[in-house]
Amino acid sequence: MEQRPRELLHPLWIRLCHWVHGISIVMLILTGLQIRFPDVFVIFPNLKRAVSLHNFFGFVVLFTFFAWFAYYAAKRTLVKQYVPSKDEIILGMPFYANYYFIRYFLGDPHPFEPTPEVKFNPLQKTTYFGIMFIMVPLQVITGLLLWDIKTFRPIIEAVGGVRVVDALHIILAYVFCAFLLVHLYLATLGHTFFSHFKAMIVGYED
Amino acid sequence: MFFFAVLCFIFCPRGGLRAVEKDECFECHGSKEILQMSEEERLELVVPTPERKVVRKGNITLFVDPERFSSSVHGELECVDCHTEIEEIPHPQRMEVVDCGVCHEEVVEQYQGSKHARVSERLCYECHNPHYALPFERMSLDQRMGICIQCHKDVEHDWLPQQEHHFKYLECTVCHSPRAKKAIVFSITAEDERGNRRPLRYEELRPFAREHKGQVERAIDFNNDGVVQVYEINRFLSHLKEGGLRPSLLEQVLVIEPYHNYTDEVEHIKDCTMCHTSEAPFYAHVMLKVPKAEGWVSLSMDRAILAKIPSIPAKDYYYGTVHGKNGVECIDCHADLRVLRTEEGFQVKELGEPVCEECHEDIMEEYKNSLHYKVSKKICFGCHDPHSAVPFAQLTASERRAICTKCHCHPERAHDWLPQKEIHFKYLECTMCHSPGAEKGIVFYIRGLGKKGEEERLSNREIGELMDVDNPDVMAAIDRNGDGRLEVGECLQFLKLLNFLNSKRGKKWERIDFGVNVLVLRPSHNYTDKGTKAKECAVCHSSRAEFYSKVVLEIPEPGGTISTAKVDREILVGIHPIPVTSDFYLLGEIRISKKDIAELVYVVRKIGYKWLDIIGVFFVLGAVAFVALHGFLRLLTLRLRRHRQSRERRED
Repeated sequence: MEQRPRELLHPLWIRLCHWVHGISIVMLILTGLQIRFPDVFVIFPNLKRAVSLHNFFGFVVLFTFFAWFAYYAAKRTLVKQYVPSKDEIILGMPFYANYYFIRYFLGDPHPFEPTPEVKFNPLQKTTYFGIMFIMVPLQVITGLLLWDIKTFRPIIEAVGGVRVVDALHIILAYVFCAFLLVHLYLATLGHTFFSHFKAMIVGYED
Repeated sequence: MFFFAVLCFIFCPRGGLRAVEKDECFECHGSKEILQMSEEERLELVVPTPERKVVRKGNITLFVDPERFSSSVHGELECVDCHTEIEEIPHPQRMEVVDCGVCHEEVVEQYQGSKHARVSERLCYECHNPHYALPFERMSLDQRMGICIQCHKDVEHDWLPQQEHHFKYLECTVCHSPRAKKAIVFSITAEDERGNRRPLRYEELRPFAREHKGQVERAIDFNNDGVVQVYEINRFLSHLKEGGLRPSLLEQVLVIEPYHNYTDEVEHIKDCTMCHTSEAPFYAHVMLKVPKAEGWVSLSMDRAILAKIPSIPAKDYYYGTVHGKNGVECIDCHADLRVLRTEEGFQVKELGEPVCEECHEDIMEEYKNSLHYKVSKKICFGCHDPHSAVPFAQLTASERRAICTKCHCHPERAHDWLPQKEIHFKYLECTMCHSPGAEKGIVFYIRGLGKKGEEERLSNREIGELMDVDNPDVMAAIDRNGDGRLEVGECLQFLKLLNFLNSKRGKKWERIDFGVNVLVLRPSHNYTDKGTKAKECAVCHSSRAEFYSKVVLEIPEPGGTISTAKVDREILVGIHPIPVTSDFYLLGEIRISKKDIAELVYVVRKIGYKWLDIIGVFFVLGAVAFVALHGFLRLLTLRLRRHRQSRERRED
């Protein structure tokens, strides 16, 4: 087998953003659960503490989002890495879905080799596009609106009230939970069980 | 060792000497000449043993009729099997008493402890002649009584009411052997021209069993369940009537298993209630004696027949029947019974026709105008048994159907057009379709289910036992808000309570829930044959079917009666935590309406923002399911993938 060149797949900045973002998301889910069901999930000492932690990690996510965005914007690879083309959506997605659900089990080799230039296959690309360009911004915006209702009152009223903003925030939160689970699982589908995890820590894949 | 024993038995029976054969005995004892011989002549034929004691001989003579002996119960035995002292001929002049206890150990034991043995010192053969004894069940009443009357010739029973009647139908031991097993046995009799009743013989009955290869018992018990129902015997009797006979059942209380301890409980004998209640021991065994080509067979009979025999006055049984419970006395219908109550003495008279319309006036009016009456001319008790033990409301669908199938024997033949015939026949009574005017409804009842799924209707007493109160007010227990209507929630709450109490009190039933039937609630006696509506499925299979407007629950009341209470129709289509109606579905019962959609919108709105969490939970569960399924398949295909990868690596 050909020796693959050891290329830096995930630069340090991106790795840092990823893990800070990841820890924040987990914390947001935990605090969010307590805020949504204060009498069922008592994870943190009290509701007030949970709310302030939620706010804090919300802002952490906001900043890591910008940090991530700034990095790719500076490198000018944001569109190339994250925005799927028409072909990728129409042909690439079913192809990779077919791989993950059928051909993978037959032992076919992974048809995609990540490189620093093209890190994601079309399926990943579309998913991450949805997450990073639609869901995270929406979640951050709704979160910000709910963080200071008084200040943002005119905007809140314009979109239909606190309930609507909250509904969007909640439903996205559940989607993030589901995404987190699937994300963690699919990360184990590398060359070895931990190779993707390792790449996200040291930057290189085996 | 065993082989040797068998050889010994074959070649050297009776102490190693040649066995004396029956024929050799009959050379002397089989001829009446032995009775005419003088003492001296006879003495020449035996080995004289004047020193030995003479034993009592009862009615047994030295002459034994070989033919009668061979047809007796002992006919298969050799003489020396009992007269064991005889080893060769000539035999000793005087011998010991034969010991019947060798075979009849239990009987001798019963007898020896009895007053009869103590006082009379009678030996077995002084009552029963062993040479001519018949099997007990083949003995006629006279023969049975003859055993006692040999000695007890002029017995006085002056205290006994209806003496003649008792003596005519009962054997002595029915009263005088309290521990004997008794039964009430019916036989099929016919009246001859002179008005005498006699049991019908097999040859006379065989033509009526042609469809059953001459097996009369199969022709009677045509549903072949081993028990003769009242309608089954009635049907057979009506066949006999059509064949020109004048049949009737003759009942007799018989001892079916004698007990040889007589008179020790003499004081109890004068107690009439030993027989004249429905608790009398012979009511436990009700049988029908049916002649066969050889002998006869005894079939079990439905106890309900007992309500129909006035000659054994057990009125308390009648009081359990539907008319009895409603306080109707015999004379209310059989007005001519008043005659029997005068001082003329007891005599069975032909009863006049009961007059149903005196009480059931409106039914009679409806029926008299019906096609059924005009064509069949049947009057009430042609179909209904006024002495029936169960009220109409408590009859199951199949029991109700039996009323019609008494005459309409093979309903399945005319219903080939009917889809799902078996299911319709199993659950519906005929009048569901054939009596368009009847009031129909869906009837729930409280039932307990056993381990094998067998169901039992819970009575008021059983519910009381669970709730630990006597005569509980079941309606009040279910209808918590007291509005007289049972909401689904109330029903489920009550079932939950019963199930909880059931598991707390020893778990008699596996589960308690509601059984359900589609039934006629109030019959209409105007029947159609192939009425316009009978073949129209939509009469029932539509959400607008009549019975949906009458959904009721049977409430068991104290004393065994039943009342009904309306239940919300919702119980039928709702999905409930306790599966009340999950096994009951009528095609066409569901028709979605505008109201249903409005209700759906209402419910969706009512849940409102909670949908977020419901949908959210589904998202997360979906993710978990994906991970689990993918991970499982991954594990499953691990070897396949490794195998392929290593092969490819080798190829590379």
